[in-house]
Amino acid sequence: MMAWFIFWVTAFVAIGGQIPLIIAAWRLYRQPHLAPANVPRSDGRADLGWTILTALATLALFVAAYLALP
Amino acid sequence: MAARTVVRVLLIGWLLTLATIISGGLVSVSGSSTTCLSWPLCLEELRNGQNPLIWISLTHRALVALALLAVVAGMVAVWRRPETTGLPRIFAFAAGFLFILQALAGALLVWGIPAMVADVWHLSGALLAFGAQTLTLLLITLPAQSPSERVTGRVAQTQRRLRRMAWWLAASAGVAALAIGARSAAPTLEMATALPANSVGAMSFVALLSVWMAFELRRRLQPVAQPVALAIAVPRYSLLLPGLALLALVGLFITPTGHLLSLIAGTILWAGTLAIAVALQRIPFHVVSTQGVARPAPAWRSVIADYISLTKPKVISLLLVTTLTTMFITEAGIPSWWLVLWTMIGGYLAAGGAGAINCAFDSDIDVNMGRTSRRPVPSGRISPRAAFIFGAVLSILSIIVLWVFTTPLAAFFAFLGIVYYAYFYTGWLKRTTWQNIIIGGGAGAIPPLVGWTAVTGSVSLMAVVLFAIIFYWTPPHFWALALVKQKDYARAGVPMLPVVAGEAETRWQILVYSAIMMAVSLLPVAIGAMSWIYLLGAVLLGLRFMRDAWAVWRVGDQAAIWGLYKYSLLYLALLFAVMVADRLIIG
Repeated sequence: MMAWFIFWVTAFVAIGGQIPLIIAAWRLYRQPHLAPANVPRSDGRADLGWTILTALATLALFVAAYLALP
Repeated sequence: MAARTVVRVLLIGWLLTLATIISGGLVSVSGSSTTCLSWPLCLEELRNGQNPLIWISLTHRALVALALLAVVAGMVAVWRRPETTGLPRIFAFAAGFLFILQALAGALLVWGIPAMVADVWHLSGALLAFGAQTLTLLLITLPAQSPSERVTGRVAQTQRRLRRMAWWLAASAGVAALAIGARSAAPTLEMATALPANSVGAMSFVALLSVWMAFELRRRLQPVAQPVALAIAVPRYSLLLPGLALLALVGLFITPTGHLLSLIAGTILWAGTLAIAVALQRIPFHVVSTQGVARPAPAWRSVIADYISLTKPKVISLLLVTTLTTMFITEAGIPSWWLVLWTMIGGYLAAGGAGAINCAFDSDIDVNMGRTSRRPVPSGRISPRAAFIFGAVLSILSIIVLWVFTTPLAAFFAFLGIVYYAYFYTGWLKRTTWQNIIIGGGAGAIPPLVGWTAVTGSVSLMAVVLFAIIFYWTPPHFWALALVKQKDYARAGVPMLPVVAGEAETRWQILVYSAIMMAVSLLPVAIGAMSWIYLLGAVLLGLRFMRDAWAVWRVGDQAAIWGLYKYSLLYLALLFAVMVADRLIIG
C-alpha cells in the first residue's frame, strides 16, 4: 500500500514535471533568444527532441518501476 | 560552586569513566564476566568460589558505581553554575544520561539479554559518555575568547581549514573508537549492524588523517609564534595522535589482549582529537597561511601536480562516492575489500582519463574563463597533445583494470562513460546546445552503474534508478554554478542555459528539475529496494534541496544560488550514504 502510494506520488511529480520542460523547450524553439554574438545558436528542433526523449525515457523508467512494484 | 571545584569534579568523573572503559575491556578480554552472574553485586559467587577472576568483575562494577556518582555530580555541578550555559550543560546532561544507560546495559548483559543490546551498547554507551564528558570539560576549561586581532584572507581561510580538519578527525576517531568497542565486545559484530564501520578500516583512516593533521599543525602553527602556552603545546604534542592511532591499529591484529590495547589507545586518541578541535576553536593561535609557507616547488613536483590536476580530483571524488556507496547496496551483499579497491582504482582512472581528455579538447574554452584559465593546458604548462595522450593512457588502463579485476560489464560502462564525457559531451553537446548539461549529465550518472555491475555483473532496475537520480540532480547543480559564472560562459562562447535563455528561465527550470529529482529519489522505496530509513533520509534531504531551489527561483541572489550549489554536493553524497545505512541496518 505504502509502495503504491509513493509510486503514484513520485510518478505524478516526475512525469508531470516533464510538461513544463517540454513547454520551455517549445518556447525557446519559437522565440529567438538574445545570446551574445559569439555564442552559437542551437538547433531548436533538436533541443525539443532531446527534451521529449528525456521525458519518454523517464516514462519508461516509471513503467518499469510499476511492473516491479511489490 | 567555584569554577575550579566544578572542573575537579568533572575531571574525577572523566578519569573514572576512562578507568571504567579500561576495566570493562579487561573484563571482556579475561572472560571474567561469566564469574559474576548477579547484578549489581555477586556476593553468592564471592562466598562460594575461589575464582580470582571474580575480582576483575567486581572491581569493574565498583569503578562503574564510583564513576556514576562522579558523572552525576559533575552534571549537577555544571547545571547549578549560573555562569555555565549552552553547550557545556547539554554535554554534561548527555554524559550523565549515557552513563546511566550504559550501566543499565551492563545489568542487561548480566541478566542474559542478547548481545546486540547489551554487549555492544554497554561499551558504546560508556564511550559516548566519555566523549560527552571530554567536551564538557574542555568547553568549561577553555572558554571562548574574542579574537585579539582581526584576521582576513588566507590566514582566515587556513584557520577555517584547520578547524574543519580537526573536527573531521575527532568525528573519525569517535567512529573508530566505537568500532573497536563493538569488535572487542562482540567479534562477530565486526561489521557492526548498528555501526557500518570496520574497526581496522576506520582506524587506518584515522591513522592517515592524524598524520596529515599533525603535519599541518606543525607546519601552520609554528611554536615560536604562538601567544599562549597551550597554543605551543598543540603543534608540539600533535605527533602523539598518529602514535596512538598506530598503537590502536597494531593492537587490532593481536588477539585478545591487543584489543584491550586498541581500546585504550582509541579512547585516549578520541579525547585527544576532541581536545585539539576545541582548542583550535577557542584558543588564540597565530596561523601561518598557505601563502606564508609557500616555497618554490621542485620542477618534477609541479609537473606531477599538473598531471594530477588534469584528472580533476575534486570532481572525481563525488563520482567515486557514488560508485563506492552503490557497491554496498546491491542484492549481492557486502563486496570484498579487494573488489572495492580495484573498482575505485578503475573508477578513478576512467574518470581521470576522461577529465584529462576534456582538458585537452576544452583548452580554447578554459582560457576564457576565470575558473579554469589557470589549468595546466590553457596556461601552457602542458600541451593539449600531452594531456590527450595522458587521458587516453589512463582510460585504457581503467578498462584493463576493471575488466581483469571486476566484471566486463563494469569495464563496458566505464568505457561508455569515457566516450560519453570526453567526446559526446565535451566535443559536441557542450558547444552546440543549451541541453548540454541535461543530456551531458548522463556521463556523471554512469559511476553507480560501474559500481553496481562490478559487484553483480548485471544491471537491475535499482541501478537505473540510481542513474536517473544523478541525471536529474545534474541540471540544478551545474546551472547554479552557471548562473554565477554566466559571464565567463558567455565570453567563452558556451551556450549554457543562463546565457541563451536568461536567469529567470534557468531559475524556473532548476526548480522543476529539483522536484523531479526528489520524486525519482523516492522510487527505490516504491520498488522495495530501500526501507523506511532511506525514505526518511531522502525526504528530509530532498525537502532541504527543494527549499534551496525555491529560494533560487523566488529570490535568485548570489547567496541563494551558492547555497543551492554547495548543498547539492552534500545532498548527493548524503543520499547515497543513507542508502548504505539503510542496507546495512535493515539488510
